Amino acid sequence: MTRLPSQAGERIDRTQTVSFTFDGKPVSALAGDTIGSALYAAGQRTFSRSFKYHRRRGLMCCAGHCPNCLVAVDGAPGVRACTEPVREGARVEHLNATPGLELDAMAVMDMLGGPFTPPGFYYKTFIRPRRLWPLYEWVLRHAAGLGRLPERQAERAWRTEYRRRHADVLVVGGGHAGLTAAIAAAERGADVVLAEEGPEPGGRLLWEGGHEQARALTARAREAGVEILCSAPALGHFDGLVAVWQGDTLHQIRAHQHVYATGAIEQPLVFAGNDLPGVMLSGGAWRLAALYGVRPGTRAVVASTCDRGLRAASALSELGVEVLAVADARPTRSTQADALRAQGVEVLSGWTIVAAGGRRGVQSATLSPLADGAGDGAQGGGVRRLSCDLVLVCGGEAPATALVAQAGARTEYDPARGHFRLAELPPGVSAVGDLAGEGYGQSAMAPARGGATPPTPDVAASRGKAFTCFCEDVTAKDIRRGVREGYDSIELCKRFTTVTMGPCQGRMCQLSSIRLMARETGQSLEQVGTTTARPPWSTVPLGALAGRPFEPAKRSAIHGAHRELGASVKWAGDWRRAYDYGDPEGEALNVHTAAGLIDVSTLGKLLVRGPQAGEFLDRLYPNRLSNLKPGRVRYGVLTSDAGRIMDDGTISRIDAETFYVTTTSSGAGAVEQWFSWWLADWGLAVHLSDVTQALCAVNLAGPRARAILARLTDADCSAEAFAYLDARQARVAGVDALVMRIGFVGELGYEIHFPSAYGEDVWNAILLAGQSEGIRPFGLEPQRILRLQKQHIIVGQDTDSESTPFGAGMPWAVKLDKDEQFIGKWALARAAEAPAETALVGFTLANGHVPTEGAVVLDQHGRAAGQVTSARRSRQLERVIGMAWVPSALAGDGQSITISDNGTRVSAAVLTEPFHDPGGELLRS
Amino acid sequence: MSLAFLVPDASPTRELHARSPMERLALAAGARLARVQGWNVPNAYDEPLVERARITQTVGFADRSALVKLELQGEPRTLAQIVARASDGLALDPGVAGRAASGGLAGTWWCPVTPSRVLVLGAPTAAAAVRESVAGAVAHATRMHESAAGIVADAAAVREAAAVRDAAAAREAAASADAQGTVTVVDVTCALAALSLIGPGARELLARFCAIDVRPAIAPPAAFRPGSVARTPGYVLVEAHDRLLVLVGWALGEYLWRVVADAAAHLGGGPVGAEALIHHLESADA
Repeated sequence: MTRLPSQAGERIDRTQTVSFTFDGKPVSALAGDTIGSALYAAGQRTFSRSFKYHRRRGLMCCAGHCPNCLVAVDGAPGVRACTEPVREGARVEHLNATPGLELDAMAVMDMLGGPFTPPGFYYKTFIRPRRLWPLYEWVLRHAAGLGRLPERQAERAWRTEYRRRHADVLVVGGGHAGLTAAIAAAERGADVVLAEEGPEPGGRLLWEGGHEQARALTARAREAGVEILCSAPALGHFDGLVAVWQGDTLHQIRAHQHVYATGAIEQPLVFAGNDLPGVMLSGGAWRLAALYGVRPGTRAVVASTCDRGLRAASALSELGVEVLAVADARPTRSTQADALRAQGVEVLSGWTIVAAGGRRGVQSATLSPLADGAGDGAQGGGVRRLSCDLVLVCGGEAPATALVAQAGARTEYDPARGHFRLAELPPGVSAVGDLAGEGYGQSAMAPARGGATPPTPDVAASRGKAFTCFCEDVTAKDIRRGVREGYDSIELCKRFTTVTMGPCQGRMCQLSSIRLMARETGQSLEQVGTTTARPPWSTVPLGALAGRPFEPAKRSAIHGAHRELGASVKWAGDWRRAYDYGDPEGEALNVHTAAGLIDVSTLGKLLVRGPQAGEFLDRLYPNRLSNLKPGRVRYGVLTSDAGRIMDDGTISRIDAETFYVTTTSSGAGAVEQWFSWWLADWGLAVHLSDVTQALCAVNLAGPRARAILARLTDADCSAEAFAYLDARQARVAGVDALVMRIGFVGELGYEIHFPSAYGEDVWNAILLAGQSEGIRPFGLEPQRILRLQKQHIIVGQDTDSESTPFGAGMPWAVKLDKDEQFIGKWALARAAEAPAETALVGFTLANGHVPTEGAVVLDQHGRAAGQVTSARRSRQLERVIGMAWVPSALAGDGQSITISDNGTRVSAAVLTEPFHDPGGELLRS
Repeated sequence: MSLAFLVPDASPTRELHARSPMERLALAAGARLARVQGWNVPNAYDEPLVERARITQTVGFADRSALVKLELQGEPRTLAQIVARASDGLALDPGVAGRAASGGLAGTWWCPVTPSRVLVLGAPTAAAAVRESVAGAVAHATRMHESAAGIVADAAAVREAAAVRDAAAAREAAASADAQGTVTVVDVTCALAALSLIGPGARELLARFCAIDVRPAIAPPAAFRPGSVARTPGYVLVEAHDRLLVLVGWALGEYLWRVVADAAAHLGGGPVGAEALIHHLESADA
């Protein structure tokens, strides 16, 4: 039994048990346990297998810093057992071991892999033969890794939420200093959020005997109004936004003032066998005992470079752990060392640990005096090998500067303390506590001062693997190899060896790898420097960063009716549109034979109002619009200042000062911005309103369209009273509407615009009224067939950023004789003078092949000289038709062009006039 | 021709139903609809006590797309005059809406989108009166301005233009003077879908899909914030300390419902109907 007697301040409730399984075996825990503490109490020592060598790994930090206890919980991989609370019925499984944790076939890598898998081996091996790469990749992916992700969303049992939080002050870190700073700010009236990565605030106070003070401070903070987020690690500082992950919520916190109280992280020591289960950070063992009442071992050897390790040794000794010896790297005796000696513990000043031995876990520790000969080593002591089941190490501490560095802080090496300290903070950011070198301030708790730079013995030359990076299995020898291969800067070495790139994000390995680099390169630690701090500071599922899926889809007010009619719905720009109703060619044909109804609510719709509205449009469009009569409609192509086609649509004049402009569906936003931008520049007496979403629009088209419309309105629908390109205000199906007689699809047609709130009712009314006339709804695909028959362009599909109205066969849309200046006039005048090299024309294909849109048009010499922009099979015309940019020399009726489509060459005949109703009689009928 | 085709003139006698873009989702959530001034309005989803508890204990959301919405554009000073006249002296500051207290426009919110653009929000039950009163206020201000502008144009700009014998400049000066007095009104009722978030968790709910800062100290009642709402352009109006009105494009109404419903369920909330909303407003007034 490894449970200790009840501890003051412990987090567990010994009266309540919780059951879960580990690799299928039942485990009994106490309420308040972590998975790690419960498993350790149950005798589990191996928690995971290492990334590359598949070595056994056990609890080390008990603080969520190291990678040694990563497990999968209920299918979610990458969970740190040492901080994850137990849950009734949880399914905990090991990662990265086959067939099991105790017997892992890939552990052979530990015996064979070292010389064959040095750092960067994947850059040099598994390259040839190239065709075997998929096999190599499969093997490598299965050999290494940190678990398996569920392949499909449905298998994920959790969801993540974004929560935006604004605050006056954000405190990151809930130790003594963080709590104190939060209370001070809140009591001054500030709105304060405190993010603590542990399950409760208090930091070291919680296990170092100050739990009552910690909990009192927490209560005071809450009373002062501080919002305390627990189990909530900060992931990164992004230009003032700090992302904090808490279970299923990602908090995006924007604060005016950021206070970092991220503390200092206890560092491991680098020696042979330093990763064996049973080798623990002194603080980790102390946490395990004090918070969860778990005895970390029975016979311990301690190696430390500062009082922190000695205090842990003292505490564990008092709890009944037999401390065989303490190797204190400092040559001089300290008060804490004397206190330990008074407890009967042997303290060896000027000594350190050089190896830990054992198979399944640590069984021995080898201590040695430091080479400089100071301290107790100077008195002639030799190497000592002690049998033990626990090795506690403390290589000093490193301020957790990563987050504050992301905020813009600068660090510098502090030779007195042997670590990198903060040297400069950006405005609006402050640091307190251990991070700032303040310790506990006025607290009675003693900070870990009086430390020594940890010894950097030549472990690279020693037998056995001495790890500097536990996440990526990078040894001291690997750092040496990297330097010898020329990767002699810390950033290059990081990329080559992957040191600091694993789940711990450098917490355990940054400082030790810098020390090794300094030793290998002969540089000072200051010269070696640190790697760039990058988010995320804590491991986080990508799903948490993605948050809930937001997919802003615009839907017309008739969308539900389309669904009921069986429409297939597809994306069209940012809209969800009815693509067809199951029979696109039949739907298109029905427009020719009877009538069709299509929802065109997606068109952009702008109101241009004011005494200078006409002038405004004259300046924007290359044709003349100020002379448009009220009640009339005119087509307009919008050009850029380079004379290139930007968009097209219709302009209707409502009254003397009001124009109603429609745009393409995908261009609506850009046109509105374009109009607004020029309006701001010109300062004309014009008001612009975007009413795109306020209005539904449907196009009723076909030979029976007039009869159907006449049933729905009192307005005179005769050809004489309501002519082609007329706009009329009329009540349609009981709703005030603007009706325009226009024809994108090439038949007699009416575009009806009315308030969106009546979308479904008007749609259904038109279908009902047209039932006896054979009306059918038609979707986007039939519309594309129909407009192609008329060679009506779709901007962006049939045109590109170089297309001018002249090249696109629309010279009539440009009025260069306009008195007024207009956007693109200069460029269009030049384009008019110099014939385009290519022209947009129609073509037909006799052999029934529908070329791919984008297929290449070849010139007489077989060179690529244009491309197909649209192509469809027309049941009405009983042939394949299309549009293509072709060399101007081939842009005449009857010319033959060659289309190369995925290696197949086909001949097509050019036709410059519309395939259907070339004279436009049907439109005007 | 006029712009009547923009106005959902839903008279109660007509057979047509004006529908919110969220109607289908509301029905799927169990809404029982009532007809209010021609609009189908969700009256209730659950038992009244359940919905009232939602509002008082967690958070509820209510479809308010039927609100009448008018957009006024014009020169800031003229707009300010109109707002002051229509709302008993309200002055519009950036980020702060005003609520008319009496007259035909009582209860309407006047929300400054920009200095030259104001959004007016009114209850659907008073739609006709709101439209009429706003039109009256605009007409009055325009008349006042026309007389002033005529003097300005005569006395300054036109005379100056004539002095340089530049007919075009004269026209432009006259038009410019005219433009300063022109205020246009567009009915945007069907351009914007609206949801109210009601209850102690209203701000928390908004924070799940919107980054706008609505902390009480920053955004007290009447705060009005144009900005990104669920990654789309929108507005947030703080109607009361526990009530936020969220507006986005009409075509995004269904999307907004899905976003809000999903987030609200996570917080223990859900949809509430007009009955619960009215009860809540009356309780607040009491």
